[in-house]
Amino acid sequence: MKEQGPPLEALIDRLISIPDEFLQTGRRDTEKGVYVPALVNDLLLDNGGYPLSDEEIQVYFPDKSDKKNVYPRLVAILSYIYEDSFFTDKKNGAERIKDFLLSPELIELSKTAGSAEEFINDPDRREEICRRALNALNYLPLGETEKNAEDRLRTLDSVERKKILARTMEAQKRAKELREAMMRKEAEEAASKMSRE
Amino acid sequence: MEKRSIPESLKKRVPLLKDEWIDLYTEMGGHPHSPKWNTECGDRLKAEDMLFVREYADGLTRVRDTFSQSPPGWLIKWAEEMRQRSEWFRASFTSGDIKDSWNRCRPMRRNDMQSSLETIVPYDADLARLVVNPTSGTTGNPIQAPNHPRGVGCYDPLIQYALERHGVKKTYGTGDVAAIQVCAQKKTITYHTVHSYHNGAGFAKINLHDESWKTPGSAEIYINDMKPVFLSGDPFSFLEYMRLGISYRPEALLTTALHLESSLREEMEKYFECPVIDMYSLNETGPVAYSCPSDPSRFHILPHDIFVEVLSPDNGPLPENTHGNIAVSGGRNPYLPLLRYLTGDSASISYEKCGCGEKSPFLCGLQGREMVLFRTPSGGIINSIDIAGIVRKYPVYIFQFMQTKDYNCRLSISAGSDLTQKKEENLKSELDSLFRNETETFIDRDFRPCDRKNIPFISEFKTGADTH
Repeated sequence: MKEQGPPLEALIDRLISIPDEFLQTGRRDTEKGVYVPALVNDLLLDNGGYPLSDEEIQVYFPDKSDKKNVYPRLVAILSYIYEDSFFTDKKNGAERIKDFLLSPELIELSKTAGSAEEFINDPDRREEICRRALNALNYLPLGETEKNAEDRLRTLDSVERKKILARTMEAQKRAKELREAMMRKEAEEAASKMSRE
Repeated sequence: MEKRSIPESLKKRVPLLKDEWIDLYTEMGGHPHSPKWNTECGDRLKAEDMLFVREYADGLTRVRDTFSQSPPGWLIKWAEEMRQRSEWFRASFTSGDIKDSWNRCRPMRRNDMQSSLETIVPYDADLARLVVNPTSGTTGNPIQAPNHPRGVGCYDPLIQYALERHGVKKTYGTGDVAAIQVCAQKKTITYHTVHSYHNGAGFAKINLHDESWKTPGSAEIYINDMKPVFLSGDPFSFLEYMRLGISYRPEALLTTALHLESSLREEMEKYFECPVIDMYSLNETGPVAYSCPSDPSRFHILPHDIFVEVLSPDNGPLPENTHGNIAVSGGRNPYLPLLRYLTGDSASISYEKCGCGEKSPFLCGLQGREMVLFRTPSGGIINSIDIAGIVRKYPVYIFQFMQTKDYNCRLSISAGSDLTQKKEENLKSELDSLFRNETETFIDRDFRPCDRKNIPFISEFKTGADTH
């Protein structure tokens, strides 16, 4: 059973006003940008938990990560969302936050976007990320029922949309292939059968 | 004996062709009274296909007591496999147990085959062996269903099974002509071939229309000389055969495609003096059922690899002996796995033990495609297939062709502006010519079908015994 969380609009407003430095992620040894593991560790501690292990940092936030990789910046965005007092006042969400930030689901979500900025600038994407943030901690946006929240998240789901798009493109390619094969075969002979239909 | 060289084109069409089959093939094709052939065709069966067909034939006779009222285990297993391979199945069974959700899954329809075929054909299907058998379009709305030579190859054991159930048990030898398929249309494909499954027995598809022959008496001479074990056709073509007074009497008749009225069946039994086997078969499904040798109003389910249900208008399964819409699942066509495919016909199904000894359930009250006869004042009969063939050449969205008892014809159409005045005149001219200019067709462009199911052909002339 999910609990009522904060108003969705409040979370979205927070996201829109995210400081620029959260989108400038950098390496541990540089001065430019935020170092994402440090952000996450502060977040986990503020939410009553423990920091990431060295191994987790190496696996999820390696120093030699591709600059185009959206994932670290998406984690930074979520860290900013989760620093909202609604969460930090409770001091009990660290485990779920960590599970979500390190989840295959989030990594896959990051691959649907060309840049992390999409999750701030695009209205649907920012609503999606805020809803996912709440959902991961078993919260509903204030005033919504579980069914409404589920339906709305399903509608916004970028990962599912990407799968559908891929399936659609594949289907279109297949349709073209099939149409061409059938036109070719129609022009050729059929196979003999002793009854008609 | 010196091995003859087989033309590559023949070998391509009949890959398993044997040297000793060539004499019959040549005789059938080169007979002095043979039809004017317009196509070449063969079974296209390779060695691995023949293995499949023979195993299928074995299963067909052996597996006759696994028909059940609910989806059987083999079907569920097959649907589970299809869920991984076909978008249609994936979308139909999105979660959990297929058996539990079977009755809720949306039936496949003709429209789906026409508009979303790519969602049905498995992702990994190899299209290289695909064949497309042309359909006659008796309803005015044909479906070009893809098939595989092995799927078509299974027609032979299926037909043979039905013939044996009617007392015609035959193993074909070299030189035998298994069947001649008789058509009666202005235009259709005609060919001769040999079937590998039947050890090279001959088969020919012919057209009784006089333009298909060298002389007026050629059809009679050819059929009599070929001596086919059975004739296949449809009620219309057999009507024409009787009207022409062709003397040849086979060991059996196999009639398909159109509903066979009991009065016409009686006439055919009297004329031909042999069993008349009515087969319920569609291009999309292959043979589904055959008429019971004891009671021709019953149609026993024929293949062992399909599951036939009767559904209510809201797609729920109906109990035994309740009339509803026929849906077929399963099949052997690797390009067209069927999932509750609504055939467009209706019947009830019974699992009662039948006195004929067949163990499969039977359909009762089967209402399929009616034969609709159109006539010329001089006594000729015109096939609806030929009317549909003409209309479909023009940009017409939907049509209905009707003939009244005074021989007047009316073609009601819905069409856009690309059916110009000139095209409309040409359409009328072609239809008048089809009716030998003995009657005129009036074209009405303001057609609005009064219900969703348009009836493309209506005639005030009766079908059956009074027509020849």
